[in-house]
Amino acid sequence: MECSINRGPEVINNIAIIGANMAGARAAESLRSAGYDGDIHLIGEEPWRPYERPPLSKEFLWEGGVPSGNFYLHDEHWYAANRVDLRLGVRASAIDLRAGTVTLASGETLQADRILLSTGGAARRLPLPGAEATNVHHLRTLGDATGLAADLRPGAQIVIVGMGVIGAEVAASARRMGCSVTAVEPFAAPMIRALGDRFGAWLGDYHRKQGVRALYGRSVKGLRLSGGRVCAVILDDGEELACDAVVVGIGIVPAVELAKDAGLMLGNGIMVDAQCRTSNPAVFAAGDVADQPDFFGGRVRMETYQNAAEQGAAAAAAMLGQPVEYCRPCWFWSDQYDLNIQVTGRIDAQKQVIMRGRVEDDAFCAFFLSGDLVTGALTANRSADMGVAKRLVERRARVEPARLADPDVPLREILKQSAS
Amino acid sequence: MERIRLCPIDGPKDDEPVAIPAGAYPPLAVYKVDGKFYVTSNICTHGNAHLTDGYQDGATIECPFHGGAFDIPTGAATTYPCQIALKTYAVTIEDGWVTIDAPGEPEG
Ligand SMILES: Cc1cc2nc3c(=O)[nH]c(=O)nc-3n(C[C@H](O)[C@H](O)[C@H](O)COP(=O)(O)OP(=O)(O)OC[C@H]3O[C@@H](n4cnc5c(N)ncnc54)[C@H](O)[C@@H]3O)c2cc1C
Ligand code: FES
Repeated sequence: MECSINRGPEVINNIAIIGANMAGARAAESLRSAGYDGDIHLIGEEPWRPYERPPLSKEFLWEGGVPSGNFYLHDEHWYAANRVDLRLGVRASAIDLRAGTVTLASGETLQADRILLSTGGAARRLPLPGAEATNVHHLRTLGDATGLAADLRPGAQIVIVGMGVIGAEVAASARRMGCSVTAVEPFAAPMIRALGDRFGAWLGDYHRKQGVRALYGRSVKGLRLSGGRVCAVILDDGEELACDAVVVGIGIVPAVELAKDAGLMLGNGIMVDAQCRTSNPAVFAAGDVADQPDFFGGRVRMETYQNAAEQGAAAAAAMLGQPVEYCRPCWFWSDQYDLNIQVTGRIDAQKQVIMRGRVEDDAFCAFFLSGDLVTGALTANRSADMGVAKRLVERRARVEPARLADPDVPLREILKQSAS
Repeated sequence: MERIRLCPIDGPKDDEPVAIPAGAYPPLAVYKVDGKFYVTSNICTHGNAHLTDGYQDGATIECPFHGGAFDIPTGAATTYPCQIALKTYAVTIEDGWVTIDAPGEPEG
């Protein structure tokens, strides 16, 4: 049978997955567990088979840059055993939607009835001269983390640029390694986009107590070089921070080049619907790169482990023509020092906030309500509350605020009684 | 055969497991699923979480830290990031108690 992507063949024999990390690997796995028997090409630019990124800012750094036993998503034999044609260390350089092909940087061309773009994103580079120096670290890949781990020596002076999730986690890991840490963050608190002002301020305090010197409301305007290495970071007011290494955590840029060249519709990433389908019906996208329908209306691009895994699986089902309606509230965790922080749904300061536990004790659960609807929750070292909180948000549960505020009412009871 | 009493059978409720602190064994979790009792290690194989702080939904226990999950009867890891199975223990109900064999005894 002749397969052209525009015609949308009934029988799907060839699926190309571009991007071999969380979303791509979960998609491959789901295709096989759904009984799909055709070819799967899984193409990854990085030289490593799919692995976990979360440890790269955490245990990988304190365990001397050595991956733990759980690091890879599948063992090396899994791919052959599941007939997944894994191509590593090679970039897909173009997709041709009319011919139904994917071209690799090696020159090879692969046939594809369906294409999944799970290309994620790349760390946003610090746009300053000197940012390419070997002691300036951007953190996204195993290679990046290996370089960073080597620079986190006890006593080393580390400057963190940007206290988002990655910056805050690396600050915690660097302290644990005995480094002296200074952080520069233009906003008033760490992780302010994820946590809001009030809880961002709490986290800022926590980092300060752990010995991080953080300069909020300040930005970096230059890098001072000496012998090919950055020896100081120059701030907007001219202050200079001497350093042995710099860690940049200023977000990611979604990898949309292939989609753009192919003329697919872009927003803040590659636009997909709840079937993970792009503006071309044979091309799908999932994970950090996907601009998708938001659970609360509007659109969103998520950069979370859970979304990458689950949207990858949903895209696999959709590529096989199964009914899919993927639209979930966001959920992520971040581990810093001895804190386990988790967020689900929307953390919105305009909303009513109901607390269980106390912020001063560094162990609390904050629920965010819109009327009697639970729209978000944040836990810090109260992870036991998150299992219920996630479900309250996901089920659009309506609760009695007074009972939610009453520590004597078990959360599971509230979940059972909630109407949605 | 020597058995260790973990908790009375009215301890674990459906979806509410009971934590048993370390003793002859490392920390254990006792669950009730459809009227049957199961015992597993209480420590997630991915990190340091106590599974009894997690969310039990029928035969599945979701870890409280990173959303991984296990099948309670078999201990199999069912949801990333968990990959390694939980250790499970054969249960005997004796005089209204949930018990498991003492260490060193063959598990039945
Ligand atoms: C250091 C770090 C710590 C994190 N910690 C947490 C955490 O604690 N909790 C949490 O919820 N989330 C965390 N995350 C986020 C989580 O890891 C990501 O959301 C997830 O990895 C996204 O998966 P993805 O498959 O969508 O994209 P990616 O992981 O970005 O993978 C995309 C892959 O596609 C490849 N690629 C791109 N273009 C091409 C091309 N043209 N051809 C071939 N290959 C291509 C890339 O090289 C890359 O390997 C962390 C991320 C990082 C970097
Ligand atoms: S500690 Fe259980 S999933 Fe990570």
